[in-house]
Amino acid sequence: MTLFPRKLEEWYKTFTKEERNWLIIALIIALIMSTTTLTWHALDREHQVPVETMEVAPDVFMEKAMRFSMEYAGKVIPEGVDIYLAGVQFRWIPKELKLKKGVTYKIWISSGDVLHGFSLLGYDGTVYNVMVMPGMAYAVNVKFDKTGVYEIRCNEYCGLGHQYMIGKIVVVE
Amino acid sequence: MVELKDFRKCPVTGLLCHIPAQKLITINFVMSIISLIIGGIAAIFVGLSRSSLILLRDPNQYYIWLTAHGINMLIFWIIWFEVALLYFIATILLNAPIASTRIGYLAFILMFLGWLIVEGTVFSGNATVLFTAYPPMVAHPAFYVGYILYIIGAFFAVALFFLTLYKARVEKRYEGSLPLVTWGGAVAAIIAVTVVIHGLIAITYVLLYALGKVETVNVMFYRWYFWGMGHDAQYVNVSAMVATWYALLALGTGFVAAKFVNERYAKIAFALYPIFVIPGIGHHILVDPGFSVQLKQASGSVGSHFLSIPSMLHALALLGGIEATLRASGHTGLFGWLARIPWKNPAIAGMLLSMILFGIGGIIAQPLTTLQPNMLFHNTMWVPAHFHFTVVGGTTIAFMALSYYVVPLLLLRKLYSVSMARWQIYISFIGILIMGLAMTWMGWQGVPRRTLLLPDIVRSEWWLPMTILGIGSVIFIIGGVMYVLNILLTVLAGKKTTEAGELVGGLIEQITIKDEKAASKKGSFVIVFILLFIVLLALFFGSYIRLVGQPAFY
Repeated sequence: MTLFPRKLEEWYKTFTKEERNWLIIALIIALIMSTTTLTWHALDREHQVPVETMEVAPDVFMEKAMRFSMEYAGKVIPEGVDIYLAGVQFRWIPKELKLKKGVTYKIWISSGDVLHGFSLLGYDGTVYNVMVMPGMAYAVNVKFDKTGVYEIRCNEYCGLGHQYMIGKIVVVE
Repeated sequence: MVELKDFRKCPVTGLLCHIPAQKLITINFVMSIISLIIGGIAAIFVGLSRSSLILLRDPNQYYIWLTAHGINMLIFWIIWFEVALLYFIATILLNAPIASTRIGYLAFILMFLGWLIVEGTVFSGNATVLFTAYPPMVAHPAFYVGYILYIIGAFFAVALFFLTLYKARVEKRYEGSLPLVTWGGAVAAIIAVTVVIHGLIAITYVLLYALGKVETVNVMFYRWYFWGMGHDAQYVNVSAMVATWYALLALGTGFVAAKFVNERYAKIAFALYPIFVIPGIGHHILVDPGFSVQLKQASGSVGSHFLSIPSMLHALALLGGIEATLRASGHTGLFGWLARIPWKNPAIAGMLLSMILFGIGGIIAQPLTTLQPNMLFHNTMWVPAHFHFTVVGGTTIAFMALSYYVVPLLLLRKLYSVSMARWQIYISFIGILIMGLAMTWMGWQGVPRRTLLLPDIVRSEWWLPMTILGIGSVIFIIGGVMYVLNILLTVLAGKKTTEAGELVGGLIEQITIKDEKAASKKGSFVIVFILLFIVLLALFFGSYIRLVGQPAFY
């Protein structure tokens, strides 16, 4: 009885057929999921967790993002230019990025102060989320196949104005 | 020879109840209920502010209540209940005394002081850093001191549990092997040790930073150890909850169904939790820069998928236990027994409804813990959907149902209202189901979690699930109020009695066994196969299909 102590011979029973089969199937379920995530790299290079990172002090990164923001304010960012996007309480620097359709860009994302989160939210169901870490920049490669507007929202609580941390990516021809 | 000094005999179960242990159980239980009430009040503000009503429009107020809600529900209510549960399964179930009342009170006082300090700093607005308290944002240093005191107190409670088990063994208070429920609780306590170690590292580190003793803070280091505490703590909950399910199955059927549970199978499943729990920590850092993909895959995805195996085994062991009982009592057909389940019994209904909600939570957790699809759901409402299904739907409803049985026996007072208990289980179930599905929907839409969505930043397609979320949370809160009222009225006004029939009247379902050989678990096998093989994998691969349809991102 589950609530009382029992002698070994009373509870040490063989498994029934269902119990044994279920043990095997549960193992198979875990193996299917594990193999899928492990082999996905070979199947699809374009939808992966970013891997490239760079150690960078928050103030240094802020400066890079500020400089980038001034240089490309209102302009379409040309191919081959590294983008710097900083999250700071409570805005994104630069606030808006203009990207060309069909071009792969590298966006360096990091924080100028506390922990933030990067949410790319389209209006067509596009969603991507990564963490924005102070002291460590994440290189994200993106390529949009359609023109349109995407929001960048902060997805990690960063202070009382967190909900207003909204930026924009505009994809043009 | 068992000494009878300080003991009383339970009129229902015949177990010897150590009175000093019972006092410790009671004070820890009372504090868990107080925390539940505070967390529940906070839940009203949080739930209705995330709904289309947007109750609190002042971010300062909202984030204070959100911090209070997270800490009271995930830490104080659950851990205090678990301490009470650990003392209960190590003393009363084994006819043993508590090893040391001094350590018991020391643990309680430390936890109480920690609790006071944390509540004080949170409600005075000095610790609006949410439950996770990620640096470099810092709270008042007292907040971390309170956190650490509480963790140390909990550590003493866990140590006392092991000491009590050890003493009961050497003093030969019981014969044979540990009861299954105690075994499950012991697994929870083993995991709790890893929780304490990780927690002390993380919180001490951020305390030093808050005091200015550490110049720059390594957020990744903190996040790893914080989730070593935060994630492992959820497996303390899981083991305690599953142990509670086995207890409920036995209690609700007057111990008849317990005979049809394969204890060896269940004990093996329990033992798998601590093996996989540490390798599973990594699923919290799947999209953090600074950790290698190999670590993320091994520790995050693979570890977490294997961690779901023991829960899947328990699903069959429990559902199969009840099916086998009903078949042995004469019910046939592949699914005919489902209609014969005593759905009106608070223990059986509590166990099954809690299992359903925990199952949904576990299924939606699988894409969340997988390296690539996690990018779709990380830090969206999908995450609170997952843990409200598991911790609120699973653990909380199971603990509530258990307390309807244990409180009357400990206090020797009749449960104030059995029908209110019965309704409460269903109302809570429906509330959390509606709320959780609304959150899942919002998660699919990509709505960020922990964000006060004021009217000017809500997208039009988010209003509908937000409204449903509000409705679900109101229903769940009604269930919560019913639970607290029923327990309070039992404590204050329940009829005093030592009559066994009266103490458990209406709480136990009579099942007569006709033919033990008819016991089979084939229907349960089909059910778990459909839910966990077909539905789970459909959602898992569905999230991959969605990922492939999105713009390139790597």
